[in-house]
Amino acid sequence: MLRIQLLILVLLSSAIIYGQEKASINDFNFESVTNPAFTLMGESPSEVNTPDDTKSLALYISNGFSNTNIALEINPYWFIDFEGERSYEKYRGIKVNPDKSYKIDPFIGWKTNSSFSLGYLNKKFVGFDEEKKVFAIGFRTTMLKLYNKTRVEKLRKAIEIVDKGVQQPLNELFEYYFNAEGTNFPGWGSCTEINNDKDLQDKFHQLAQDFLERIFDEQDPDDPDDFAIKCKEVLEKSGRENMTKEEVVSEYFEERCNNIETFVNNPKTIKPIFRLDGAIGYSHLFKENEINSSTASRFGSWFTADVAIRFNDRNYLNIYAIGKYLDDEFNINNNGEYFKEIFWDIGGKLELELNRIKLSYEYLKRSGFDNQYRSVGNLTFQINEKMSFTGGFGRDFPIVDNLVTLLGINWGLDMGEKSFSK
Amino acid sequence: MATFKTTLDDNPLTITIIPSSDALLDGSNKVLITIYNEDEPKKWRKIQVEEPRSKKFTADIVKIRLVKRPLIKIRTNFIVDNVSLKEQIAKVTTVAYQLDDTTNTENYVSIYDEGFDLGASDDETFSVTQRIEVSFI
Repeated sequence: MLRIQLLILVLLSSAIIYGQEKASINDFNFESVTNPAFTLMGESPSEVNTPDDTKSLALYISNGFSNTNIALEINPYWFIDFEGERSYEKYRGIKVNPDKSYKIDPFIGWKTNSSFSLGYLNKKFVGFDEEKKVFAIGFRTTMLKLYNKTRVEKLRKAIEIVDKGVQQPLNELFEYYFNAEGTNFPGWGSCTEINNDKDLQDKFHQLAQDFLERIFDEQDPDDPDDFAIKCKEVLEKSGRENMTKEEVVSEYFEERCNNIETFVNNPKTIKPIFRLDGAIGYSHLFKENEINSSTASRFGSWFTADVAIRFNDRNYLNIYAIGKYLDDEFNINNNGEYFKEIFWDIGGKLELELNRIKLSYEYLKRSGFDNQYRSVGNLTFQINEKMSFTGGFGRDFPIVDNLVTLLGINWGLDMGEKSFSK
Repeated sequence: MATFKTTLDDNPLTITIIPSSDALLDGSNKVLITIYNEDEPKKWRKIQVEEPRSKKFTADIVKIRLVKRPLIKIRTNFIVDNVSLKEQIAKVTTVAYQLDDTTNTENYVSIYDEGFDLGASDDETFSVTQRIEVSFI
């Protein structure tokens, strides 16, 4: 048995090391501790989790490096070289019906949102006198996602608008110009900053100035500039020969930003109306904190169902239900003897997403133990893309020593790689 | 920089571009081809790009135009729906290029970090640029 467990450990470690060879520091995130390995150990702030868009690698730390409580999660999707071309539609499971309407593959999460995790920590479990070294492995996936026609139609329209791009002739030509000059199309970040960020404004005003100068440059009869001639025709046709660089930029940004707004909020707008996630975990505790010592194990498997009620593109009420099976040997009696408990945790969670704030309350009841329940409230505030603040308070399952308190800042890493410094 | 060797004749140079990405191809200028001279890069000329089938792009260039501007720049634009996935998706994005002058065919594939522009970290857009020099023999 021990050999099999060690083999699993070696294989998972090898997969992670292989992944790291292709990864950079920006692939890691420190944003949560929701992977199954940590959830099984009771290290997650919430027992109810439905992660979106898992990256290739995630590094999780619980209570800091000093306690060596650490977990790694790997999503194999990003390391598999699928035969055939990748596409946005394949990634999001979008299929086109014969009548051109869309449908979304309800099982796409198995392919794109599955992950393996490996955790190691020192923890003083309830009833124990000292910390024990524990390792855990886990797997989770999104088993089912169902969308209603309204949300699929909204997605179809968003894709169609981005696909067509800017339609005003001068906007299309200005976009062509600055792209040919080496500037990427603006995304939502630029859209929100263009009126406040002086450097960004100056950059696009300069591009617009150069664009207008090229249009009105004197033409060489032996080497005519078809692009400039076309632009001049468009300006003359619309009577805009005196157009300013500021007008070029503002008109372009207005159309561009309207086009992409719905699409770049897609994780919200295409949220399934019903979703079912599954996870499984197995952990090992070394009784004497030695590799050769006898061990105890904990096995768990749980399903999480999520019904999302949409208020608007940014605000949702999520209603979760969870059923969790545990086969737990991490128990010790007054004589220092280990014993096993088997039970189910059944419960739910209400989560209100209001722009950057997420408020939630979860309640789980443990079967066979009348007085054991978990009742925890959480608040998360997204400070920016890289940082969020989380606080939680409540009661955990044990009869004694059951206070849950959580206060912390989660952060992502951005080491300013060259690829981001354009 | 990749080099494509050809002879100066009346055969058109046909370029085929096939992107493969979990991102969406972006906008009305999904794939943009310009030709230019190293000494006057700002005096580039636009090449018309067609999309004969979904996600396959082609362009024909009359070779005589390449005598004065022998550098071809092909830029492919992408957009993701979740900015936190941009770098991840860019890493598994490839663009395959084929140049064909009826007597000679060459294939090229983009390599991550060479010609990839991830732009601003809070923008969902990125692009892949391939430069090919046409050498007349």
